Amino acid sequence: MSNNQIQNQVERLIRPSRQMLQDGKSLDDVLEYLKAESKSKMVSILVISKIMDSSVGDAKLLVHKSKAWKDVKQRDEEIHEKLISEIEKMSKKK
Amino acid sequence: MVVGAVYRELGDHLVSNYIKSFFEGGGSGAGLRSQLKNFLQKALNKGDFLADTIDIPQKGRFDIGARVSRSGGKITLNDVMFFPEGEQTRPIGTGSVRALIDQLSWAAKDMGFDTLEVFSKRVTGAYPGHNWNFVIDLTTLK
Repeated sequence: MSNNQIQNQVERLIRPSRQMLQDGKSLDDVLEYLKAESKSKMVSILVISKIMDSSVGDAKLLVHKSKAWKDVKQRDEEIHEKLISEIEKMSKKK
Repeated sequence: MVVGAVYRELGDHLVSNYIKSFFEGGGSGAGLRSQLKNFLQKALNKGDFLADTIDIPQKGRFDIGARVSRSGGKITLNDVMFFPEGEQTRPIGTGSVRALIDQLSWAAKDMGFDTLEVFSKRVTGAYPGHNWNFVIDLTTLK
Protein backbone atom coordinates (compact mmCIF):
# COMPACT_ATOMS: atom_id res chain seq x y z
CA MET A 1 0.00 0.00 0.00
CA SER A 2 1.22 3.47 -0.80
CA ASN A 3 1.17 6.26 1.75
CA ASN A 4 -2.12 7.53 0.27
CA GLN A 5 -3.73 4.08 0.36
CA ILE A 6 -2.72 3.64 4.01
CA GLN A 7 -4.11 7.08 4.81
CA ASN A 8 -7.38 6.33 2.96
CA GLN A 9 -7.80 3.06 4.83
CA VAL A 10 -7.21 4.80 8.15
CA GLU A 11 -9.76 7.52 7.33
CA ARG A 12 -12.31 4.92 6.18
CA LEU A 13 -11.97 2.81 9.34
CA ILE A 14 -11.95 5.47 12.06
CA ARG A 15 -15.71 6.08 12.16
CA PRO A 16 -16.90 2.43 12.23
CA SER A 17 -14.23 1.59 14.83
CA ARG A 18 -15.37 4.46 17.06
CA GLN A 19 -18.95 3.33 16.57
CA MET A 20 -18.09 -0.20 17.68
CA LEU A 21 -16.62 1.11 20.93
CA GLN A 22 -19.67 3.33 21.49
CA ASP A 23 -21.89 0.29 20.90
CA GLY A 24 -20.12 -1.52 23.72
CA LYS A 25 -17.83 -3.74 21.67
CA SER A 26 -14.45 -4.50 23.21
CA LEU A 27 -11.12 -3.22 21.96
CA ASP A 28 -10.30 -6.80 20.94
CA ASP A 29 -13.43 -6.82 18.76
CA VAL A 30 -12.34 -3.57 17.14
CA LEU A 31 -8.84 -4.94 16.53
CA GLU A 32 -10.25 -8.10 14.94
CA TYR A 33 -12.44 -5.92 12.73
CA LEU A 34 -9.51 -3.71 11.73
CA LYS A 35 -7.36 -6.70 10.90
CA ALA A 36 -10.09 -8.30 8.79
CA GLU A 37 -10.76 -5.02 6.95
CA SER A 38 -7.22 -3.79 6.35
CA LYS A 39 -4.91 -6.81 6.80
CA SER A 40 -2.42 -4.20 7.98
CA LYS A 41 -0.87 -3.81 11.41
CA MET A 42 0.22 -0.29 10.51
CA VAL A 43 -3.35 0.72 9.61
CA SER A 44 -4.63 -0.85 12.85
CA ILE A 45 -2.05 1.11 14.87
CA LEU A 46 -2.92 4.40 13.21
CA VAL A 47 -6.69 3.89 13.66
CA ILE A 48 -6.26 2.88 17.32
CA SER A 49 -4.04 5.92 17.91
CA LYS A 50 -6.84 8.16 16.54
CA ILE A 51 -9.81 6.59 18.30
CA MET A 52 -8.03 6.14 21.65
CA ASP A 53 -6.38 9.56 21.36
CA SER A 54 -3.04 7.97 22.21
CA SER A 55 0.47 8.33 20.83
CA VAL A 56 1.43 6.16 17.87
CA GLY A 57 3.99 4.46 20.12
CA ASP A 58 1.40 3.50 22.74
CA ALA A 59 -1.00 2.32 20.03
CA LYS A 60 1.80 0.16 18.58
CA LEU A 61 2.28 -1.58 21.91
CA LEU A 62 -1.46 -2.13 22.34
CA VAL A 63 -1.91 -3.59 18.85
CA HIS A 64 1.24 -5.68 19.13
CA LYS A 65 0.05 -7.31 22.36
CA SER A 66 -3.50 -7.87 21.10
CA LYS A 67 -5.19 -11.20 20.51
CA ALA A 68 -5.95 -10.18 16.93
CA TRP A 69 -2.29 -9.88 15.95
CA LYS A 70 -1.04 -12.77 18.08
CA ASP A 71 -0.25 -14.84 14.98
CA VAL A 72 2.55 -12.50 13.89
CA LYS A 73 3.70 -11.39 17.36
CA GLN A 74 6.80 -13.56 17.40
CA ARG A 75 7.70 -12.68 13.80
CA ASP A 76 7.46 -8.96 14.56
CA GLU A 77 9.38 -9.25 17.83
CA GLU A 78 12.23 -10.98 16.03
CA ILE A 79 12.33 -8.24 13.39
CA HIS A 80 12.12 -5.56 16.09
CA GLU A 81 15.06 -7.06 17.99
CA LYS A 82 17.14 -7.35 14.81
CA LEU A 83 16.32 -3.76 13.96
CA ILE A 84 17.40 -2.44 17.38
CA SER A 85 20.52 -4.58 17.34
CA GLU A 86 21.59 -3.43 13.85
CA ILE A 87 20.91 0.24 14.61
CA GLU A 88 22.93 -0.11 17.81
CA LYS A 89 25.84 -1.70 15.91
CA MET A 90 25.69 1.06 13.29
CA SER A 91 25.70 3.72 16.02
CA LYS A 92 28.93 2.27 17.43
CA LYS A 93 30.76 2.24 14.10
CA LYS A 94 33.68 4.63 13.92
CA MET B 1 17.98 -27.15 13.41
CA VAL B 2 21.44 -25.63 13.69
CA VAL B 3 22.18 -26.49 10.06
CA GLY B 4 18.86 -24.94 9.06
CA ALA B 5 19.71 -21.76 10.97
CA VAL B 6 23.15 -21.60 9.33
CA TYR B 7 21.56 -21.99 5.88
CA ARG B 8 19.02 -19.27 6.69
CA GLU B 9 21.74 -16.86 7.80
CA LEU B 10 23.91 -17.76 4.80
CA GLY B 11 20.96 -17.21 2.48
CA ASP B 12 20.26 -13.94 4.20
CA HIS B 13 23.89 -12.89 3.90
CA LEU B 14 23.71 -13.54 0.15
CA VAL B 15 20.49 -11.52 -0.06
CA SER B 16 22.16 -8.74 1.92
CA ASN B 17 25.06 -8.65 -0.55
CA TYR B 18 22.61 -8.79 -3.43
CA ILE B 19 20.70 -5.85 -1.99
CA LYS B 20 23.95 -3.90 -1.52
CA SER B 21 25.08 -4.56 -5.07
CA PHE B 22 21.61 -3.75 -6.34
CA PHE B 23 21.98 -0.20 -5.00
CA GLU B 24 25.66 0.40 -5.21
CA GLY B 25 25.86 -1.04 -8.71
CA GLY B 26 23.04 1.18 -9.90
CA GLY B 27 20.56 -1.60 -10.62
CA SER B 28 17.48 -0.77 -12.58
CA GLY B 29 14.19 0.19 -10.97
CA ALA B 30 13.58 2.01 -7.75
CA GLY B 31 16.27 0.88 -5.31
CA LEU B 32 15.82 0.59 -1.59
CA ARG B 33 17.95 3.67 -0.95
CA SER B 34 15.86 5.83 -3.25
CA GLN B 35 12.65 4.44 -1.70
CA LEU B 36 13.97 5.33 1.76
CA LYS B 37 15.09 8.76 0.59
CA ASN B 38 11.64 9.30 -0.84
CA PHE B 39 10.08 8.19 2.46
CA LEU B 40 12.30 10.51 4.52
CA GLN B 41 11.58 13.46 2.24
CA LYS B 42 7.81 12.89 2.31
CA ALA B 43 7.85 12.47 6.10
CA LEU B 44 9.89 15.67 6.51
CA ASN B 45 7.45 17.54 4.30
CA LYS B 46 4.47 16.15 6.22
CA GLY B 47 5.93 17.06 9.60
CA ASP B 48 3.87 14.31 11.23
CA PHE B 49 3.87 10.51 11.38
CA LEU B 50 4.06 9.04 7.89
CA ALA B 51 3.40 5.42 6.95
CA ASP B 52 4.43 3.99 3.60
CA THR B 53 5.44 0.72 1.97
CA ILE B 54 8.83 -0.27 0.60
CA ASP B 55 10.01 -3.22 -1.48
CA ILE B 56 12.99 -5.21 -0.25
CA PRO B 57 14.43 -7.36 -3.06
CA GLN B 58 13.73 -11.08 -2.51
CA LYS B 59 11.92 -10.35 0.78
CA GLY B 60 8.70 -8.66 -0.21
CA ARG B 61 6.88 -5.55 0.83
CA PHE B 62 7.19 -3.89 4.23
CA ASP B 63 5.24 -1.15 5.96
CA ILE B 64 7.51 1.53 7.35
CA GLY B 65 6.49 4.45 9.53
CA ALA B 66 8.08 7.29 11.46
CA ARG B 67 7.73 10.93 12.42
CA VAL B 68 10.72 12.64 10.88
CA SER B 69 12.21 16.00 11.81
CA ARG B 70 15.39 17.92 11.11
CA SER B 71 17.57 20.20 13.16
CA GLY B 72 20.63 21.54 11.36
CA GLY B 73 22.62 18.57 10.10
CA LYS B 74 20.66 16.07 12.17
CA ILE B 75 17.67 14.07 10.98
CA THR B 76 15.56 12.41 13.69
CA LEU B 77 13.16 9.50 13.26
CA ASN B 78 10.61 9.09 16.05
CA ASP B 79 8.18 6.22 16.64
CA VAL B 80 9.93 4.09 14.03
CA MET B 81 7.89 1.10 12.87
CA PHE B 82 8.69 -1.65 10.42
CA PHE B 83 6.43 -4.61 9.66
CA PRO B 84 6.05 -7.11 6.84
CA GLU B 85 3.03 -5.96 4.85
CA GLY B 86 -0.14 -7.81 5.84
CA GLU B 87 0.12 -11.27 7.26
CA GLN B 88 3.07 -12.60 5.26
CA THR B 89 5.29 -14.82 7.35
CA ARG B 90 8.36 -15.05 5.13
CA PRO B 91 11.30 -14.53 7.51
CA ILE B 92 13.62 -11.58 7.19
CA GLY B 93 17.10 -12.25 8.49
CA THR B 94 19.79 -10.15 10.08
CA GLY B 95 21.52 -9.48 6.75
CA SER B 96 18.42 -7.90 5.24
CA VAL B 97 17.79 -5.78 8.32
CA ARG B 98 21.45 -4.69 8.27
CA ALA B 99 21.12 -3.73 4.60
CA LEU B 100 17.98 -1.76 5.42
CA ILE B 101 19.69 0.25 8.19
CA ASP B 102 22.75 0.71 5.99
CA GLN B 103 20.63 2.06 3.13
CA LEU B 104 18.59 4.24 5.48
CA SER B 105 21.83 5.78 6.74
CA TRP B 106 23.07 6.32 3.20
CA ALA B 107 19.73 7.83 2.21
CA ALA B 108 20.04 10.36 5.06
CA LYS B 109 23.67 11.08 4.13
CA ASP B 110 22.72 11.57 0.46
CA MET B 111 20.18 14.14 1.64
CA GLY B 112 23.01 16.12 3.24
CA PHE B 113 22.64 15.09 6.88
CA ASP B 114 25.62 14.23 9.07
CA THR B 115 23.71 12.63 11.98
CA LEU B 116 20.81 10.20 12.11
CA GLU B 117 18.97 9.75 15.39
CA VAL B 118 16.39 7.01 15.83
CA PHE B 119 13.81 6.78 18.62
CA SER B 120 11.19 4.12 19.14
CA LYS B 121 9.22 2.28 21.78
CA ARG B 122 10.29 -1.23 22.77
CA VAL B 123 7.72 -3.97 22.25
CA THR B 124 10.07 -6.71 23.48
CA GLY B 125 12.65 -7.38 26.15
CA ALA B 126 12.54 -6.72 29.86
CA TYR B 127 11.00 -3.26 29.51
CA PRO B 128 8.32 -3.23 26.83
CA GLY B 129 6.92 0.27 26.44
CA HIS B 130 10.24 1.93 27.24
CA ASN B 131 11.84 4.12 24.63
CA TRP B 132 15.15 3.36 22.96
CA ASN B 133 17.30 5.63 20.86
CA PHE B 134 20.58 5.53 19.00
CA VAL B 135 22.64 8.11 17.17
CA ILE B 136 24.42 7.21 13.93
CA ASP B 137 27.33 9.37 12.79
CA LEU B 138 26.85 9.54 9.03
CA THR B 139 30.25 11.13 8.42
CA THR B 140 31.89 7.77 9.16
CA LEU B 141 29.98 5.91 6.41
CA LYS B 142 32.22 4.37 3.80
